[in-house]
Amino acid sequence: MGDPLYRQIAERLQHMIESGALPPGARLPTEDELKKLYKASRNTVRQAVRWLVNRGLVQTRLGQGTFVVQRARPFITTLSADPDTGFGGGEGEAYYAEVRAQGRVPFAPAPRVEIQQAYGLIATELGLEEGTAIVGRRQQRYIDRAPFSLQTSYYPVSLVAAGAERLLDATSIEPGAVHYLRDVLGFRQASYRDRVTVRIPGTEEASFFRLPDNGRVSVFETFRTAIDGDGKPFRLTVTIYPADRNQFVVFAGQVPTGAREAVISGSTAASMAAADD
Amino acid sequence: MTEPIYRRIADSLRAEIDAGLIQPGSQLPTEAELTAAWGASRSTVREAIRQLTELGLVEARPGQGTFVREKIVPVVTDLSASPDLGGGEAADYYIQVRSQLRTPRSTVPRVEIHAAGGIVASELQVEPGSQVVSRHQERFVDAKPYSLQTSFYSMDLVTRGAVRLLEAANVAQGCIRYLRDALGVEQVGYRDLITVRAPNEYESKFFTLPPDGRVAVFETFRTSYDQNGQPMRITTTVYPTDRNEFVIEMPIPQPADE
Repeated sequence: MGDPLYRQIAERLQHMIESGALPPGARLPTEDELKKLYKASRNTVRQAVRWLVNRGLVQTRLGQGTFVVQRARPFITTLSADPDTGFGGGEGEAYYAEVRAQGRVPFAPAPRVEIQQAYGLIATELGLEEGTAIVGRRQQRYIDRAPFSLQTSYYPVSLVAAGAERLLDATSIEPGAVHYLRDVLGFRQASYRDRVTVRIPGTEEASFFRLPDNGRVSVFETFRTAIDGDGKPFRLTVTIYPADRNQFVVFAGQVPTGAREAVISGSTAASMAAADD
Repeated sequence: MTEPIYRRIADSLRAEIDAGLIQPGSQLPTEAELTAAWGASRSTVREAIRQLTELGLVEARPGQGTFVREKIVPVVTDLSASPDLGGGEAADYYIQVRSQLRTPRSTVPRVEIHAAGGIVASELQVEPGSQVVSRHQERFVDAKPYSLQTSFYSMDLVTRGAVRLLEAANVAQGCIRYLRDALGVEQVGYRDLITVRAPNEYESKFFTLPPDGRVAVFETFRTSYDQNGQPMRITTTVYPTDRNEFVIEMPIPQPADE
């Protein structure tokens, strides 16, 4: 005995996709062709294709057929702080600089600013009572014209009252909100804590990132809590990144320049992807 | 153009689940209740529930109804540099898991000799085809599978005297400290790359992931560098995303004028 026939067919096709015999964008043989090729029933062939769809390897386009998924070249976000600038995982100018360093074109429209009430995780992370007013600054971020991430930063509204009025401006704060808070309020970001999780996308996220609505492409959700010199949190940044086009890197201690540059040039990402065969 | 009704029912139930109005472990409204509430047909309601099931948000319990799935309490792996940059092997792994009041266990390493290829050769900067040692461990938390880890070392380290890399037994102080003690090769830094992908067949079985591939796995690649800037090890670890998270604590270097 072995695997059921549909699985054997699916795995043959998977192998052809991974070896490049069926390259990204190629059309899979039609149901009729697969039926003949593997001497299988239509039902079995459909099950095999469904298995590949569920693994995100192929996509069915209505009326056109089934195609090998084209993967976007991944963008790599550095989560560790840059020893020169003290910034990591960029906002404002820092984000633009990080994207351009990888030879790609960033775009982020003006943020949407909202006043909300802190609840749940936002309240806990910012050390606020539930229901305290907070400012949310939400930004869509594109790379090479494709949507790559959705970022929302939350600040206690008390920072605005203390003089950081630009937190309410629906325009980007340059060269970054952390710089701005330092200039107007004397805040110093002493450290940050990142939490990296993965979940299925919400309905709105799926439509913004054009993800399949069956949840087969997960999203990273990262939570960055910025801590000031007194050990108090002053900002929480929540960012959603589709896992099919984003990766993260962390540098710790002394890492040779070549190993840093390999990440920026994208050669690491290519070799890591090749390791999955 | 409006959305089909099944989609609106599914989205509305999902919003209630996401907001915590229907708690994990509790029962969804029954088919009859949903049919009545939405004025929809039974097959429309079934399609809505099928969608939520496919997303992994709810599960049918035969004879009882449909329930919101319980979330697994995640284990948090710290990727920040500990003082000796040890992070996450052997004793360090046990300490991290125990600090979360959970019970770790890892299997005795399976040791193999391979010809280096692909990423192992390029990250270790050895010729493709040259000999490398791999040490592979299954790691469990509270008796459930949580991660699969494989470390690769150049055979050159063994010929230079680090013979314990070939032992199929835990190196108690961790291989990084062992290499320092045996050869004076010291880890001074590392680079972690964090990716997410669909699990392969073996991983799906080992972690008992749903057969439809909806739970992705993290795959991390850690390359360690020694005091001469040479790569000394590459470690790949696979973690199911439904039970693992990462945290990084990052002190920010302050400009000298402050």
